[in-house]
Amino acid sequence: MTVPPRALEYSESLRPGVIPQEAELTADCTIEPGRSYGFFTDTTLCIGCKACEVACKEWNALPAEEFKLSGKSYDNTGALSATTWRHVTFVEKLKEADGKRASELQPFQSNWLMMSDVCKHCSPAPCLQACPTGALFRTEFDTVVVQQDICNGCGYCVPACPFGVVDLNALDGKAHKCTLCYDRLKGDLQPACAKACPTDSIQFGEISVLHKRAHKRVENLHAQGRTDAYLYGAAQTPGATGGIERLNAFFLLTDKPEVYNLPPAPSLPSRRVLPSLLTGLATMAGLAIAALAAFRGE
Amino acid sequence: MRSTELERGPYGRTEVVANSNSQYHGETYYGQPVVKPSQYGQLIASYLFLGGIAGASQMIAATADWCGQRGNEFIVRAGRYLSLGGIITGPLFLIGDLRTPQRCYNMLRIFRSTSPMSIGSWTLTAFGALSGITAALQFVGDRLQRPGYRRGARSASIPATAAGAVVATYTGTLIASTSTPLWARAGRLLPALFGISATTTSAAALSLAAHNSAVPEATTRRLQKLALLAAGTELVVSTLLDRQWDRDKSRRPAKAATARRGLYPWIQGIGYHRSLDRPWRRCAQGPTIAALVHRRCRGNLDRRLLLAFDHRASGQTIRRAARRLFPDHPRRLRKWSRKAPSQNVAGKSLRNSTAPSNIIPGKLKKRRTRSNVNWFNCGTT
Repeated sequence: MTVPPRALEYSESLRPGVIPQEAELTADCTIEPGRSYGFFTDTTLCIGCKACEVACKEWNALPAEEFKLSGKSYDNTGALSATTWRHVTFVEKLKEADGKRASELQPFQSNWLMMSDVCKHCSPAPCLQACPTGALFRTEFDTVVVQQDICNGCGYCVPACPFGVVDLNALDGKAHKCTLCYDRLKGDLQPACAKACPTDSIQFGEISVLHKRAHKRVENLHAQGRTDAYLYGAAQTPGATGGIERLNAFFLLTDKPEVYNLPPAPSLPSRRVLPSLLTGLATMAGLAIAALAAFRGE
Repeated sequence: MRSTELERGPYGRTEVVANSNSQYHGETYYGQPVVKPSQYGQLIASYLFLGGIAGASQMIAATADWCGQRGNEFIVRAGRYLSLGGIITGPLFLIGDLRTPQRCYNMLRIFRSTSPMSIGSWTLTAFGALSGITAALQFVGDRLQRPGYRRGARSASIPATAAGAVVATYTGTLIASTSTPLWARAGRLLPALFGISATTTSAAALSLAAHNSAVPEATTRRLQKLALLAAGTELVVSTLLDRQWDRDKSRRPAKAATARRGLYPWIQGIGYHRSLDRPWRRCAQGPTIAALVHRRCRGNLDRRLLLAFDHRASGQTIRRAARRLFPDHPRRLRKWSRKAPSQNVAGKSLRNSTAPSNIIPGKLKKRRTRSNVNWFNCGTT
């Protein structure tokens, strides 16, 4: 009697060598401090199941939002907030280019655009640069996290974020946002949303690997005739503008960023600090001279 | 091959992006704003007023002192006391605005040069100490009639003025260094406008104090001259700001909202009306221009307050736009409050309730109707 070869794969109760990190099995990457990790969200694969939203809430013990129908397609979540760190956007492309109602379905993904939005973990990060307490910091995995035991709820990171990600929670008075599952990364687990994603629309990994994979995916899509596919947030692409070198959570989109509620050209607000401060000081110097002139005369 | 393929895409690598000032009229995500609204409220607006007065009056006092003209003693003394008063009360508003005020000391945990909030926190601390020293030396010098203390006050006022210049203007930098489109487009003009209006207001406040004290007429005239100079500049800079916003096709919700609510003429009116009391009688006999200048000063005092509210209002407007976009979203409707709501609609305490916090009905604020709110769409960045 011959044993089928596949059965032999399970014949040993113990694997030879060291048990691999879980992320090595599930995300094909090892998680080590000092390297950059992030998400590649391929919107052409998203089916809008919201498994990422649920997985995020479950792992991070975040409360549910109000149970309401928004009337905006299947998007009842609304936006990223202090208690929602993954948000699936639903865009129904019901209008043709001439503004009339669509009369036929597109061959690709019907008329649907779906995208799982998340904190971009920008590099450099505007929220981190704005934080006066140092509560926002860059972790050893090149992600941006709010330290809840330091944040005093000044709220300056909220308008600083060009993507509208960071939010204050009125109940505990602190700023909250996606942590890229800092606790899971420390335990060699990939983030909850990426693990839950059934279509690999959300891919977790090391940035350089993800970049290569993403560029290849764009090439493939272009070869398939999907010529409007482009990367948003990878280095030297839209989204990584105005001093932001790259978004550690970047996206593959097929329509303008505005359609997905992403800014077309985000910029670092901190670039305005020095010229603005100097203008202010120059003004005060001018006023001091005016005051001298006013007080000297009769 | 890839690059040519990419050029065909809407945001291909070679075309990169439209610049951030271009107005996008295409499809957006249900018209939702991309950025989150600033959470600043009345407390921050009040601080902008007080901090500005504190910084600029220190500057006015120092310049009056260094001029060394006779009759300036009142300006020096009042300016230093006013500065101290402003810098004692202002930070209280700032701390009150924190959602976790018991951790206010964390503001001095680090220094971050990219954060105007951090720069401001440290400058405020330094300015508070320097203002305190200057005012204390002035007070002791006045009491003991010893010129040594006054000389000390004069030396201390130099670093105090430098810190005061930052305190009066960094608030403009602070709101300009955000992603809020209206503020971000006025990066250079906002701090200038804040500094100028702070000076106008301080000069107005000091001239008001001078009017109500027995000081030489020349002192008041000098203050009025400064107020007039600064007010003229303020007019020019605010016009420039308006024109810049018009050029960028940014909406001007602040001004429109204030004007529509009728606050602008109302506060101005109070300023002019109240300036008609004692000084009017005094100035009625003298040249009428003095009365006009004084009224202008009084008006400016209120105008600075109004300006602070203006800039608060532009943040509020975006918040309101967000409310419109999430009309049934209690999280958006809820006024940010440090206190967790403990009462439900029936007035029954839910503090010890086991119900999850997010479904406590007491948190649902009364929904605003469309009719009584002016909506502005802040557009995309």
